[in-house]
Amino acid sequence: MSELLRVENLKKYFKTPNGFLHAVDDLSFSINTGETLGVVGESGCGKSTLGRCIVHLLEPTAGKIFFEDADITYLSGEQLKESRKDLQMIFEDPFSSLNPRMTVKSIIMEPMIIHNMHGGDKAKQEKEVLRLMGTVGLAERLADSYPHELDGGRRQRIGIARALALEPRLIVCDEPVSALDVSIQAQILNLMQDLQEERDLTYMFITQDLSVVKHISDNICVMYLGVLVEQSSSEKLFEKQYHPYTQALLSAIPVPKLNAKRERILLKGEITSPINPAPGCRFAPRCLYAKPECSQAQPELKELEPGHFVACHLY
Amino acid sequence: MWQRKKKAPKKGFWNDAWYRLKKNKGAMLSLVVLLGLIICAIFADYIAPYPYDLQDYNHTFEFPSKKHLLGTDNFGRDILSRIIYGSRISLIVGFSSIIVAIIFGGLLGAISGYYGNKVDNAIMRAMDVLMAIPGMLLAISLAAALKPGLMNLVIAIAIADVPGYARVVRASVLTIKEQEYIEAAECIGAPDSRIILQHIIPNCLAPIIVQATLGMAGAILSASALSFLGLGIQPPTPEWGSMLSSARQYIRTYWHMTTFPGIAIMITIFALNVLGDGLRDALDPRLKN
Amino acid sequence: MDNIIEIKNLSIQYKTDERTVEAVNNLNLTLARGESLGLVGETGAGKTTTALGIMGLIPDPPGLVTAGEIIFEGQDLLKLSKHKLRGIRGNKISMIFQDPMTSLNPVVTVGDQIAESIRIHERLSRREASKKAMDMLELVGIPKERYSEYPHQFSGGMKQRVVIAIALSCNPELLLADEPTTALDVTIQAQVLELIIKLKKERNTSMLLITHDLGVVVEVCDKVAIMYAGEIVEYGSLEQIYDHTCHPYTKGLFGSIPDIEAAVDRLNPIPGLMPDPADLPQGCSFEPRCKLACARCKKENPSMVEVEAGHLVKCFNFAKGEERNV
Repeated sequence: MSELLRVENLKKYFKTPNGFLHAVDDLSFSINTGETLGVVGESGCGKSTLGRCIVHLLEPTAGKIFFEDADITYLSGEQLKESRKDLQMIFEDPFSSLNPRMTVKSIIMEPMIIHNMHGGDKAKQEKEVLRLMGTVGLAERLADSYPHELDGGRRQRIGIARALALEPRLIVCDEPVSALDVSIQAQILNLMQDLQEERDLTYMFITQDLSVVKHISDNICVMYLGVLVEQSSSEKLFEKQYHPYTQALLSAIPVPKLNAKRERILLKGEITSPINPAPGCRFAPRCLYAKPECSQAQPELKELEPGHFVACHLY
Repeated sequence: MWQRKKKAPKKGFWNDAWYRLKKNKGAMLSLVVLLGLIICAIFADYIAPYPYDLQDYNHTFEFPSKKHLLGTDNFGRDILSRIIYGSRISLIVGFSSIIVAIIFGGLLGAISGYYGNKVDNAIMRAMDVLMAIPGMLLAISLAAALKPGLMNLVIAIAIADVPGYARVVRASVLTIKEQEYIEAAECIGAPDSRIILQHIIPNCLAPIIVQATLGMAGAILSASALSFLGLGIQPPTPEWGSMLSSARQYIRTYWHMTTFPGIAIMITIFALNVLGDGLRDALDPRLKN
Repeated sequence: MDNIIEIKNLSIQYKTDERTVEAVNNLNLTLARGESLGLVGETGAGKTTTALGIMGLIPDPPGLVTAGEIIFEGQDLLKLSKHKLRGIRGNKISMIFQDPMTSLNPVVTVGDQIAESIRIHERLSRREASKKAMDMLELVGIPKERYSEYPHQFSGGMKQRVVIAIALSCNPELLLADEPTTALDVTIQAQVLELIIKLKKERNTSMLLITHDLGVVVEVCDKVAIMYAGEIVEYGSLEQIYDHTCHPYTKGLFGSIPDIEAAVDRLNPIPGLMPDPADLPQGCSFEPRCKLACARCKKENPSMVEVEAGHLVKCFNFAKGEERNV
């Protein structure tokens, strides 16, 4: 398997009146072609910021991003425009991610117009739009309707078609199904899996829903307050969790089954502020196993099993 | 058992808005009044019973009669005809000053809101300075400096209106900028110009239209006021404000000379304001259920 | 068993000039004292409208209760005067809303907000009320030192605890919780659910929990009602619904949820979309999406059948006392 995207020591800080907000702090990982990397964490853990850094919506403070071994961290002008063709994004909110004044057709066609695809031939582009609409399961008769006339699931399909229009290699999916009802969510997840198989797409799937991430991902990164706390293949992670946060997160998911009552780990308190974080492990204030050393030094990622990385002083 | 319900009317933002506006009786009545006014202005040559500058010294200061429906003035000119011709000036001044103000104010507001930070600060502080000067005073000084005349009247009123539009547009750009579809457009590589023209401007048209309708009333009023002060349209061209101005010395004896131009101004302003309110209700998505 | 609330043939519509939305259609539901019922359904199924109907808070216009009765302690809430209803609302029935961010007043301290709701329903002096409010804060796990802080100083989970404290401050007999944990992160959701379970046990409050999450229902509820297009399509105990699922829609819901314990290649979603509530099909409202649909489903709307004691299904594929395996 070849590596498609590699992120090295990525940092993104935001300046706030009270100091620097460490949204993403020293993150490294890689994704192979055709695979899905799930990024899990609760709100405010920096997972969306990470996704936006990768698709060039935000400029990283430090670190490097490689796409097929080419450094794409800081690009501008034509290079940036070219790179956008490879990296696309699907957004969370199917209501605010589509321009309410544009028809379905013009939304999907816009990337083709900007990148002058299909030789800039309008008829060809239009044909391609209809083909894409078919691919994502939108009826052709909807081409001239406006987004607000459609339901959430169909809107999200438009968002997917728009992302596919440039024939990207990697798609960053920022909570693409969390705003949808379960039955629609399942339809969209199946569609995304079908597309991945057909087109050999690579996904970076950002979500806070662990059951969704398990279903769709090959590898999983667990983030807490901008830091990567555990990384492993999906199967291994659900078999054995090392980091106390991952354990708590997993035990907190409500499972829709009788007699599935598991031992639930209740965390103390709530997420702390990512502004000027104190030294040491970010999870220490809520951790059930915190030791004095946890509030002194930030733990390094250690490979506890082949391919299973954990950042915790317990190991 | 369930019955099939009638389908909702054809959708789309503007269709929706038109549908809602149609239900507002006051706004529709105002729209009819304004359309009538526009027709009057365009076809003044055919509608007006007399030319606006026809002086008839045998019939000065006549009260309304069958021959002169609204009476005549101190030169024996037919007041009805002068009001009809006067609507031309009022509408031209109203429309063109608003258009000029929207173009400049809108562009400044869009740039200021989209780029933010220093650009925003520079533009908005300049606007604040303009706003600190009372609008009428600004228009008066500009009109005085630029010599009276139609063109300069428009410029004077437009400049005083620019900050208002800049604010309205900036505020809506700031909200629209946060929408994910702007990020999505950036993500597919759309250049800034395309984002502003294709994605931002069409989405802040609604508040601009409301502001423009209400602003037009203000512009017409300012034009009349400036003309009243002798800084606007010069006689003999009929203009409602200058008609009032020249009639004011006869106000005690010949009430009709001041009353009818005044009523014309009042009806126009009233209609524009009612229509503006109606448009706000029709276009505001927050009232959409 | 003694029923705390009985909803009979409730229908609620939203009427605008263009269309009539049939939000709740002929809904029957009973809740026994001390029991918790989970009302499960997707967006637009009419769950929140039902709860607002019980509270007498349907916005009118455009909302209108067109038929039915809601019997609470022997009286029909729909026939009560506004004044009497206000006495029951908050006192005997209270509601927790989905969004803790908007259900608190940003310019009043959280303690005073709790004290105020106590004073509306109980004759207490200011001092007594604030003392009771402090107890309530402690009860939901917030130190009473935070009494005089404002909502913006609290995080989402803490705010939801405050909302729960307000809802419970008058010892209600019935608690309506509308997606109380949907806006929260999973670890915080776990804390809040634990709190709700604990309080319910201590006070023996009856609860109607509205949610779209079948996982939350298992943890909190005794009974489940599945709602689709304004109607209850299946009703039963946890065991009956989760282990002996009958209605094709309920089955579809379970098939749509990714299983955290087993690996499946593809999910098994329900095809299609929920019908437009302003344009419901003539027969069974689930018929257009149903795998088992037949000619009869198109024409007639099935009524509830009791397949076993306490397990009701609204589907022609099931006859009385029979749990056909389809």
